[in-house]
Amino acid sequence: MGKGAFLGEFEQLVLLALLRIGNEGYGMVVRQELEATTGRPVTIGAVYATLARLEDKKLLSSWRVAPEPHRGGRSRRFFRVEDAGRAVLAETRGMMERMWDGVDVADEVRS
Amino acid sequence: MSGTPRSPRMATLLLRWVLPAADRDDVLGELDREYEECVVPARGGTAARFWYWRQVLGSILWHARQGGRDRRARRRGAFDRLRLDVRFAFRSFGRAPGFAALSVATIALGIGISTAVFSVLNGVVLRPLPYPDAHELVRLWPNWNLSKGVMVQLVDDVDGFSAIHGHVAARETLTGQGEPTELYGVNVTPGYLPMLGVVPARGRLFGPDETVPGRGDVVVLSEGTWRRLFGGAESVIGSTVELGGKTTTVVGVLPATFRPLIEGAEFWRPMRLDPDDFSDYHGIAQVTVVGRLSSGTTLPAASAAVLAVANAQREESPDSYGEEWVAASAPVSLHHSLVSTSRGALWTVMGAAGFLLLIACANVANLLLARAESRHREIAIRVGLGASAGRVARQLLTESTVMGMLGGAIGIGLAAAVLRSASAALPPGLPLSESVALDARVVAFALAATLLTSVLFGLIPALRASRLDPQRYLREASPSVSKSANGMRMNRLFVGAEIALAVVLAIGAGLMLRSLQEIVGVDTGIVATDVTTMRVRLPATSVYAGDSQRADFFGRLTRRLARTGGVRSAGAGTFLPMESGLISAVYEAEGVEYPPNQPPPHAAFQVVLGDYFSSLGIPLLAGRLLNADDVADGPTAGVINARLAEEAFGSVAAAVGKRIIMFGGGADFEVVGVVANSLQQAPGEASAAEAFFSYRQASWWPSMYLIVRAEPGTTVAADDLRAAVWDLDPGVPVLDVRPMDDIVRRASAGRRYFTLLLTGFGVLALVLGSIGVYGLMSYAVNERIYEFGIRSALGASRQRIMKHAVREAALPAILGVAAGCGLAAAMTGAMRGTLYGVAAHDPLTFGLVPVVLLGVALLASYLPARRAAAIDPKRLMSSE
Repeated sequence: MGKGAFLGEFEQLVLLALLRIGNEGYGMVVRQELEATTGRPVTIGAVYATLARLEDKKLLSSWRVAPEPHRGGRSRRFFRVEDAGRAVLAETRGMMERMWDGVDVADEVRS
Repeated sequence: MSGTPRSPRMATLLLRWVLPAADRDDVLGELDREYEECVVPARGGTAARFWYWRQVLGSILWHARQGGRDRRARRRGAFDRLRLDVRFAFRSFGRAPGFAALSVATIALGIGISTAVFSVLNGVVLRPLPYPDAHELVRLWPNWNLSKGVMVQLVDDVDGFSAIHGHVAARETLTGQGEPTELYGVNVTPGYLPMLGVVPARGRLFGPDETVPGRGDVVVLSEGTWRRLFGGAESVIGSTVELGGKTTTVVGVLPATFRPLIEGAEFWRPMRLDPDDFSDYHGIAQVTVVGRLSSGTTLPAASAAVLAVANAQREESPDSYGEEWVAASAPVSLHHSLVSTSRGALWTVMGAAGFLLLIACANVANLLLARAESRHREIAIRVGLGASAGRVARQLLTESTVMGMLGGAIGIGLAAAVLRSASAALPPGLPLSESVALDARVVAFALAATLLTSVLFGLIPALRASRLDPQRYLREASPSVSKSANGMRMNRLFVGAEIALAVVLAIGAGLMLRSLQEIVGVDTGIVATDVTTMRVRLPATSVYAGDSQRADFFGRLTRRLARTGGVRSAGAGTFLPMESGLISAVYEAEGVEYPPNQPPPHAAFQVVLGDYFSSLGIPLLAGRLLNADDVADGPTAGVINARLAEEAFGSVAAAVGKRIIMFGGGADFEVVGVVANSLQQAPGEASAAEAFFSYRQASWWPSMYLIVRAEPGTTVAADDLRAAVWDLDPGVPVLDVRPMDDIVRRASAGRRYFTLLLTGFGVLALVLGSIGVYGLMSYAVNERIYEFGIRSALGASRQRIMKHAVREAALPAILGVAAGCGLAAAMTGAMRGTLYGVAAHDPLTFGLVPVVLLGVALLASYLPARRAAAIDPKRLMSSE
């Protein structure tokens, strides 16, 4: 996995959000963190689809927590970023930094 | 926890349907969790629900966009299934292109016609008038015109209106801008255009002081007129023209987007309000009064206010205004008053188009049913591989929806093309016909119609196909026994329904045709053959300023025309039957007691010259016609029609020699003769009481219609007629040279158009219905081919087999026809308003149409039946 894998923008954001909240969280918390930090509205459907896809790519792992006793609660699914995920994030970041090097967007806009 | 509001159920279900099965519970769990724990406490019930919906819709959108990227089978959500079904649908069309093309074409036809008709209905009846706050605009005395004096009184006295104004149609010659030309326009009160919310594109509108005689020589032009006559030059504002002989200043130009209340109006002038000019101000009811309700005033409240003023008027001058006039005062919405005549006809056509669409649906449903049968094997295999009945049904429904959408898209394109090319062909006099276009509402209608028809024709075949028993079809090599009678039931039902609808359409068309026949044959009271008319308008120069000069000109003109080669007689009149509007006035017959509470009677009036009556073929019934003895200074003489004679004096004979007072005393004449009634308006309307005066005694009209009757069998050339006028004065414009026949025909044009349309629909319905029956029969024969073979082998004669096969079609056809007649009987009552001379349950139509349709149905079943009878049993058995 790793080699040649390129993360989409939203995938990056989801991974980062998960890491920000302590690399352990379920969908709701990831969504809230994403929305709060990016300042853009985020839907739970998008977050979950991305989490699932990242898990397919083995960049995340998930497990289920026993349901809470009250409210006929369901079991909830926790996610965490795996080492492979961290690695791809780092690689992607490095790629972006190399591309950004020497580029000043402010100047381009003004001219 | 009690008290926590439940998450919106519909949103939950929606999301559940879209999400892939694997993640469904998790996502919804997280969503509900956040909703209950975070959002509701923070934002409260309504904002929280809003948040929930946003989450659901956003997630659905995400899945719609991203869903295709995940190729894993287990991730498949609703959108992936949809994509798959659509691809499958196109593939199955490819396997049976003829069937698909026929279905799509049928749907396109149905949707196209319905959409086109709806566009017209929308533009004319449904769309609000193109003025700001158009719902506030009303017409007072919706079917009457008022005198200028009464209008002014209303303006002063009535409460509840923010504005009351009036308009009078006018025609004036424009000279000084190239060739003299005649313009149609409107004389209006100063605030009339601002009331309609018009802002001039250039220049200004009128001021209130411009109604005073001598001050009002200003005019505002329409955009089209400005471009046509002034080439769109900016310098037009402030320039002067000769309009109606008066030097008039152009002060403004209206924008092209303005829709005048009188279609085709080219100019607007301030209405002359001069209380001292008795006959113009009080004597003639010529003003159409419109108003704008003040905000907060309801129509009933306004009605009451108007009624109060009307009653006050009546008390003041009880001779002039009766109860009928007062009762007629109730204002109606302006929109309603403009479209009320076309409304009924348009809704009927819409209904007919709707029926046609239903028939198209039934046809396609039949096709689908037939096709589903031939796909048994394919469906059985899918079921065997694990597809649920619901899945199969869904896929078939998707197919029919895709077909419907294709047909709908083509149909909309068809409608757009038809509207573009046929906008010139819309019936004359259809109000607001410029508003007919494919706007948002029309497209929404087309979309809704498409979806509805897709469901209608697709649902039943889909449900049926999904309930097939796969075992039966997988085990047998080929079906050797015909399918159960049950299987054909749906087909028969659809065909029966089609035929019923076709019967209704055909009966509707039949009634209209008969009605048209009656109208065309109606006695107009004139003999229109060999008659040519033209209009001559004397320019307002000093040459024709005096009454005697005008009388002299027209007198010489009629004599000159009578001497022209080929002419038998010539006359002139101020109005032409079926062409111009009538002006009426109150009258009183001398020596007749009019009870105080009765409305005073009205009569129309005209001024004539020369051989007016004989040229039009109106016979004299008693007394004499107007002639040269009725000179300018002599006693006023009048000829009345039979209707007025009977109304005023009880009989034609009794009228001669009696006196009548008109215009509330403005005219007082002796009845010298009585003529037969003639139609003044379109055929289908009763003729009004009418009085005729001699032009020599009432020469104030500068414009007259000349009526020229040719010797039987000859035609008089238009050029000869014009030459006759120009011989007397080459500067006099001659307009509208037309045969009288054309005018009579044009008067019934709207009705004819409407009938043609309905007849077209009826024919289409017939064609579609026949196709449906033919299809059903073919299909039935194919299905039962072995059965017929066996019967034949067992000794049944060809006739018996044919009879058997035809009976197959006969039953649904007969039931369909019967049902159709019943439906038609229930529905034609609604057409009563548009029928003329024909009962809504006309026995001839109701008897003939079913017989014809039954005959067609049986004919359509004949061919397949013959095929059934020609089956060679031996070949059939050996091929099995």
